[in-house]
Amino acid sequence: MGESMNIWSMIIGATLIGKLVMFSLFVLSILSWVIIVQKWIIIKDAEKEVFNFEKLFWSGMDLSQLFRDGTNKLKKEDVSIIGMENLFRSGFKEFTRLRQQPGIDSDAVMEGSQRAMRVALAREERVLERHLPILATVGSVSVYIGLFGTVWGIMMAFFDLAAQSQASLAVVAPGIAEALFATEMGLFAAIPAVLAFNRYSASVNSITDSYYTFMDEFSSILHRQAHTRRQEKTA
Amino acid sequence: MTMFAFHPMALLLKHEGYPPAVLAAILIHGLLLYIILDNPFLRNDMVDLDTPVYISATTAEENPQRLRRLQQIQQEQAREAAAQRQREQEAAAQAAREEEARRQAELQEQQRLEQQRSEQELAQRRQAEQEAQREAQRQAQIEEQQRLERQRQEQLAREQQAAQQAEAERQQQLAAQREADARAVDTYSAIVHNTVTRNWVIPPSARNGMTAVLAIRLVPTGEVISVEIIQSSGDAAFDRSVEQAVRRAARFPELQGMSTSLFEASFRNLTLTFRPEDLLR
Repeated sequence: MGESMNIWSMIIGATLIGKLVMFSLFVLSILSWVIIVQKWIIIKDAEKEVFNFEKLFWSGMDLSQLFRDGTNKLKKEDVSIIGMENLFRSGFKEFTRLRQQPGIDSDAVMEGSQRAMRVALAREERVLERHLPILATVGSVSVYIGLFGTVWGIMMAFFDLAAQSQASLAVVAPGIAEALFATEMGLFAAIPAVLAFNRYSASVNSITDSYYTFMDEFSSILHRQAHTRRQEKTA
Repeated sequence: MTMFAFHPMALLLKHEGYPPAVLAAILIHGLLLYIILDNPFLRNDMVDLDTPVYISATTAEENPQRLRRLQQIQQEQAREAAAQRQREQEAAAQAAREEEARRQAELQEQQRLEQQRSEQELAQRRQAEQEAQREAQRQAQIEEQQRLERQRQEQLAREQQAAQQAEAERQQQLAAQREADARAVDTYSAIVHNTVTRNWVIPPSARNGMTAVLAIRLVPTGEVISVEIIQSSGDAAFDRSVEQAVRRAARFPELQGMSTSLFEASFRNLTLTFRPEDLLR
């Protein structure tokens, strides 16, 4: 109990700069944790969606049926369709729309649907990667802020020491403890932020990879369809 | 259609998952603050028990018709019983009146006796009361005396304690003063020693084991007014060098700041001991 009182009185008794450093580190830590949890929710959801949609897509279901199911789902619930299904929907929508145009070249159809999918993919990537740079910034900067607080605190402690005629440890000890507390807070903010940043960048990379793979696979299916249809027409 | 089924993430995903994220972050930091500060009041709050919920049950009225019939039967029975009681009462009243006359006579006799007895008792009680009052007065006087005595003793004890405490405080202050003085003496001695040592040129003839003791007289401004060798090292060059060192230092301006009593006690007549091995020879 005595220890804890010491920490509290230390924070209260810190210099203005020390208080500013501690406060900003506390705010940075809260910010980074908000992003850590929010990103965790988003990325877990995306991973789950990739798994579920791939299973559904390769289950041999009719593609137009899959598209209609998605439309119904959009109407029924107030959820937005994300990730791989979003890619599928934009590509398929563009494909059917272009194919209904009379006298259109099948290469143009393919090109259009691929462009639509690329746009959707860019959007998905942006959603997944949003706020990740903040984590990286907190991870690298908060250590420096803490270091600044420590250096400042130790400098102040030495000034106090110089003002005394007799040097004693009791004069400098509180200042140095306060200074070290700043570094500790900086590390506390930085470690989870760096860990989460590395973990989440890897996850986002793997999810984006699976999106690219899916886009290629789906384009090849569409290409086959367009090609077959043209052959029928010419035959 | 497993995809479209409700899954627990759906609740978290509202507003891109920000509300639960903010909540979790605040919780984590609240927990951290709690661990760091470990506020005992907070802990008391957390032990607060849930107040139990009491449910009271009452039976509802059932079958009103049966109840009404039961009431009718009861009323009839009551009426019959009342008539019976009326008859019995009339017979009893006659007997009672005769009995009453007889009892009245007895009662008067009794009352007379009673009054006599009560008067006697009253007299006795009055006497007893007076005695008790006197006794109480005496008791009160004794108690008052005892109380005064106790107060005096307590006062005495308090004074003694206060005196002891004052004495203890004085001792403590003295001890603190002595300690501070000792520390100051150490500091100033170190200053003097350093200054002299800086000015000391050790002659080549100096050998380990040589010891020269100097008596120095200082004035409160820190100036050296006399140097005297009270124990020679046996080597004239060494002795000279030592004396020269003090003369060259000439003045210790740091000593000006110290209190007069301390100076008189420790620094007016200063003894310095010189050994060549002090300087890593």
